[in-house]
Amino acid sequence: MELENILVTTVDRALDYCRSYSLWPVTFGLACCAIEMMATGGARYDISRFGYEVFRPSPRQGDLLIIAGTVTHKMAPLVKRLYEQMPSPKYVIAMGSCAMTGGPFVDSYSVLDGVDKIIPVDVYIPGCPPRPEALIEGLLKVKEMLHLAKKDRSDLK
Amino acid sequence: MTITELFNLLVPVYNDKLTLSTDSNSLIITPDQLIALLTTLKTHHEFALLTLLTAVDQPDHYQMVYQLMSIKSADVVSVHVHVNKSTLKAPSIVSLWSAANVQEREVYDMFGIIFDGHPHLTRILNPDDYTEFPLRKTFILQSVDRQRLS
Ligand code: SF4
Repeated sequence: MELENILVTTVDRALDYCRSYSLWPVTFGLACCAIEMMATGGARYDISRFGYEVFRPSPRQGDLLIIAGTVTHKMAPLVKRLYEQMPSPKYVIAMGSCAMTGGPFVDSYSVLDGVDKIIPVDVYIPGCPPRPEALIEGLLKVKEMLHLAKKDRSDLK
Repeated sequence: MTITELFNLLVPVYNDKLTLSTDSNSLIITPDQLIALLTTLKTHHEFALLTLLTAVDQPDHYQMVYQLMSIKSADVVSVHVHVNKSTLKAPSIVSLWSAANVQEREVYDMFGIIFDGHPHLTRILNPDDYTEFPLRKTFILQSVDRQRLS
């Protein structure tokens, strides 16, 4: 017998599919990359086209943490706390070379060499700073990741 | 008024405790007379604005640098104090300029100089549990524990 118009899935995957179209980023900028993040939210690049414009002022309402800038040793415990305050499921984007590796400031007495040393990162966006198009590409990568089953997600990285 | 004129005016009061730097651009005072000198400059010579407070790591001492400005004449004077590298003590000038509070904390944070009479001398830019003084010439970058947070 031929089955038509029946979709077999799991609740998890169905929910992830819905989430992927409305990620709510936490309003959180650390350095110059945050300026590009703001530009991405502005009229010219307009991430609301993709459903990601609802920047939340509280980590308890967000499910996406964009690490936009330099993470110093002093800020690191607070970044970690913000991440821990977000409800699951939650995703992290490391935006710019500072968040990825420490960037131009890695040889300094105060800068953490990559935010992935303290929290898990899903998508890395290289650049100093990455252009708004690159941030949008990163957000779409999160969407792509959410469309995969959990066990396949690590292949995307 | 040039620095040399100011120096000639003040030297009868401080005698050998006050000297002129070799480039004739700054006054060098001993730590015990710093407050007295800055008070005089502030109240009698119109140098009411503290524009800079920082330190320099010299081979045999830390040099505290205070730069004062007169709003009226736009003159600038810089006053230096040599801080002994083993005692690390300098007088705090918070009683004269409360703006010196955070700047002295920064110098403490970066050089480890202890300011006598400072109301709240704790680290300001580096984490509270930091053990290094990063702007000292003896500071070694590799000594920072990069893994301590992960
Ligand atoms: S990656 Fe470049 S633009 Fe981004 S925070 Fe670091 S220095 Fe600034």
